[in-house]
Amino acid sequence: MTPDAEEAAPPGREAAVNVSAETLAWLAVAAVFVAFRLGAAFEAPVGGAELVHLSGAWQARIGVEDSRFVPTLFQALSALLLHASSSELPSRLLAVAATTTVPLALYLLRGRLGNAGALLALLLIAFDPLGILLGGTASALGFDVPVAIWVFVALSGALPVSQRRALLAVYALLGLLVATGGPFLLPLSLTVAAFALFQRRVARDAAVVLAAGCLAGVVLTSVLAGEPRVAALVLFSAGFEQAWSGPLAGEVLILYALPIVAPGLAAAGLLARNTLSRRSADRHEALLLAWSALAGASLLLSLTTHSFVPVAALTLPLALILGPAASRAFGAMWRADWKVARVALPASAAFALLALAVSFDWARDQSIGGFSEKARVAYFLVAAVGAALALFLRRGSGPAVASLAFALGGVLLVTGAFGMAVHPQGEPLPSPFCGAVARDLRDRAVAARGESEGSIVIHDSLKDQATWPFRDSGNVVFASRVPIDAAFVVWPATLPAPAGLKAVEGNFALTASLHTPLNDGLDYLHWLIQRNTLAIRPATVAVYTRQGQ
Amino acid sequence: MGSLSAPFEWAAAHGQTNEGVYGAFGLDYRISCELEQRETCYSGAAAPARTSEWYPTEFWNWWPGSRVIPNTITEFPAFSFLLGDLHPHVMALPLVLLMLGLSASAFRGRSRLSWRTHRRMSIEGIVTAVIVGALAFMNAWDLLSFSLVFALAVVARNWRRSASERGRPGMMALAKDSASYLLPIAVLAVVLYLPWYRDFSSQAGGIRPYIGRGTLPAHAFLQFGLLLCAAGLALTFAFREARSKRADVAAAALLVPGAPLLAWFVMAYARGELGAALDDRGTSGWLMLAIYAVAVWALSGAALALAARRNTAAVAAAFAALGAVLLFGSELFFIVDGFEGNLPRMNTVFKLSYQAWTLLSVAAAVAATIALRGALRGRNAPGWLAAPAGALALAGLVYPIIELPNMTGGFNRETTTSDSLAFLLQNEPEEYALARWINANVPPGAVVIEASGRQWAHGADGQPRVVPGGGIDYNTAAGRIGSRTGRPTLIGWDGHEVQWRGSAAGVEIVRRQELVDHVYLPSDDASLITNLRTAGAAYVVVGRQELQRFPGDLMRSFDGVLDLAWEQGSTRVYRVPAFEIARTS
Repeated sequence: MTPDAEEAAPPGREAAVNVSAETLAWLAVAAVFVAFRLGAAFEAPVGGAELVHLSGAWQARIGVEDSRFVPTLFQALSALLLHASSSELPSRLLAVAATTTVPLALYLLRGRLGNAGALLALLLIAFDPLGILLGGTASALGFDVPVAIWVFVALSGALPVSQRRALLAVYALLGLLVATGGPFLLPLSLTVAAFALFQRRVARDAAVVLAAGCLAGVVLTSVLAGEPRVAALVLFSAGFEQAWSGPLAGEVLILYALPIVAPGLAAAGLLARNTLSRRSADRHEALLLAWSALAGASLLLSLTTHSFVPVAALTLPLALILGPAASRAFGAMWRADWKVARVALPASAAFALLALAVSFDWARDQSIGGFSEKARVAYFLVAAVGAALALFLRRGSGPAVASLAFALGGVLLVTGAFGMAVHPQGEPLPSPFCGAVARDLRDRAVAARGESEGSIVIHDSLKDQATWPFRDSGNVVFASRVPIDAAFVVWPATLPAPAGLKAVEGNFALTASLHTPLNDGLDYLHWLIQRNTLAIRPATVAVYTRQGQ
Repeated sequence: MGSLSAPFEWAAAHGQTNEGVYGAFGLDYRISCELEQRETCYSGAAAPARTSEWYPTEFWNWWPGSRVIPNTITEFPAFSFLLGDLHPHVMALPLVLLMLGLSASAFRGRSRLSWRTHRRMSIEGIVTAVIVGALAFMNAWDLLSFSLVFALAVVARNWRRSASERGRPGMMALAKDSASYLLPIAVLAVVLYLPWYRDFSSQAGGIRPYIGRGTLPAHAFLQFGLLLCAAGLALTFAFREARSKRADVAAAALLVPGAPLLAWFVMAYARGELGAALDDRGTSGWLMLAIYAVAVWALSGAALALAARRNTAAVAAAFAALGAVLLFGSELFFIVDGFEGNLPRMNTVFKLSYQAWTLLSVAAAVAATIALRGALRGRNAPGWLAAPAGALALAGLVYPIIELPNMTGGFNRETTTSDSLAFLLQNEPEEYALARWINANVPPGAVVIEASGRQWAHGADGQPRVVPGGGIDYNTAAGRIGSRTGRPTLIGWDGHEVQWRGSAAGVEIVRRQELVDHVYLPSDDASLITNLRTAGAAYVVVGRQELQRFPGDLMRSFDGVLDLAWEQGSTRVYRVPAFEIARTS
């Protein structure tokens, strides 16, 4: 070994260790990403958007026309998979499989977002509760998140494809996937269209094949639907009318998305300011800003709809902005003057925890304490904020305060992610859901029909709710009056009992919702500390059988 | 700002009336009969009862401002916003303003506009076509006026460009370039909205010369004087800057009022009505025409002179000129429509003067800015003008200042809310509950049957007969379920149905009225079900309107045949029974 080689060896070994650490980090985050979505796939009840879209897919599978079958490409494939099994699981695994490509896409974006930025962005996306639900369940939007990410990768020029022809083929495929996707993709699609048409930031041949792919997607959707149709637009409109989530979009934002949206908007603001001050923007930065702005506008329009999709559509671009920003913030925090901060920050955190501890007691009791308790909480809060503020204003120590924000955001994000992946039955988001009670009701109905050779009759106002739980049950009568041959009758609990029938004792429901814990601040705090105790609100139905059964 | 009739309304409400002054402005009909018994006077309460506050508290005092010119509607934006009027002319306002902005932008550009422009910037052309086409889609009246504004802006730009390149514009090249730019936009504007044109029908039946008494100059002053004066006076200041061009444009500008006047003579002569046309207009009518003609000539001249110098005020002057042209035109012609018999020019004056308000408002705002800037810099601003200009501006502000509290009861009324059904909760709680129930329980696409509005009674033979002239009037009860819930109903108020769809739709309108009415009239159960199936109906409403339109035994019972879905007092909603054997596997 030459002296030169000897000198070069240590750095080489260091480099090898560094690469391994990075790779390990990427693998770990990717594993968490996939694990969370698999958790949701196996545990989440069929609810909200998934219930609507799987019902539509089932109707398509049995050849019944239904407006809930839009279809997106994913919903069409779901309908195909339902031929193999009437369970939702194969469709969910298809969604998970597609979403598993997201870590790879983020890995390719290292050149644009920076290695740490891309990794942090993946971490945020992995822990995003809304992304977990979208990626782990079989709504019609099952392909939307990976398609959005891959479109962004392509337009950022990060695709590892060097041959022009192959690149154009990828663009055409992405165009097709966008046009057969859901409303999650609309803000990005509009951004890309604007960039291609007005800014000329997309190469002409790429724009043409992208448009051609879109056209093919629209044709494909139209053929499947039997009339001219753009799936994303139909679903965008449906999102204003159908219940895709228990909470309203505004409530979803507060319950699940604040840890990404609040700092994400701040990061987007900083990025916009920097972009404007240097009067030019990198293509991917401009794309992200425009995408976020349109997604934000879409969310504002949809704040009072029962849909989580507009919120999820905003968290994705903001996570891509926030990743690199968080990476820079970590750097600044690391370099900050910790001389005072190492005392002041724990003090601030301690005061905040003391205030929270009292508040949690209030939340458990569902009532605010007396004057002395209020004074104590106010004192702790003032002390906590004061310590943080003083530190923030101190020269050189300011960035250290970011650690508090990271801690708070991290706690909220992690609890949300675990809630959605490990115990989604206790989360208010996938509502209204179709639980085991509904399937049990179906089994009883089929058994009763078998015993008496009569018919299963369901009130026609419950028709849509009954599609999924009563799938694969032979012929069912939907009527507003009970026919003579009815053997088993499912009727709205609010209507009078049909004559000549006997009520079946029990609590029956086709769907149920979980209480949205936003009655007031205490309600929210109570949910944070005791996540799985939300009240279930079943949409109760009455059940009747023929006398003598 | 609003109609200058508002100060008179205000004074009258407080009992401050003078027959001479009110008579001079043609408003003597607003003086209470209790004060002065005349042929035309206000039959309502005398002054003390017309207001108990600083503003008029009289019911609907805000309304007469939109009916100043007899037998016409002279609505203006401040009135529309107060009324909460969702007619097309109001909903199209943002699009119209966008179109004006586009026109101003087209005029201000420097390069020549031709088909080459589309090749270079195809997106701009497409977007323009989308906007122009949407004008027809939103309010067909606006298409002609505001696409003309845009076309004139394009021609003016090309003309200016040609003049600067060759000294004198070549007319052939000008026409070729302008047409090759405008034609693709026009074609695309139609093609993009073809699905809409496929079903579009209009009551318009051509254009005719107006023969009759024209508008009184006093009435025209009350409605349009403020904006015309603001635009005219202030643009005169800008006109001074184009002194050298005045002589060139004065003669050319004569064409603008001259051409329509000539067309009116020719059309009246061709119809053999020239004699009546000349006689019926009367002195005041001819005076009005002369005033409008001078305004059109002066403003057109100003616009041309300023355009030749590429002065910023040219666009505003052109808008003002076009506004004046529309007012002038509504004195000469009318669009033939469903009101041809008694109120031939009602809609024409209504729609064209509304467009004129928009154009003149934009022009007046620019003009006022120019005047103020001139005044602040101490030039182009005779001091004596400040007093009358200020007085006019204040008078124009009276309408919104007094009528907003009039409508809202000084913001104290319980129904001062953005909930347009709040009045119903107070006055007709059952009808309110009905609307709310339908909103909450009837699926968005489900067809609901409500009374068509025709009044039924027993004929001499004992059979049900439609009472002639007894139909529902234009009020909130017309098509109430459709308007309050957004659910499709088979037929709305027939008056509007005819106006919107034209007389050709009359057969279909009557068919639907018959179908709906025969749901309510006595019939056997099978006929009822057949009628409901023909109508595609899922729900039948029986409320106050239905009980009133089909009194006593003229309405059949639905009990036993249809499902009673909801009931409160005498108001009911019935549901057509559902029965479907559905496959689930």
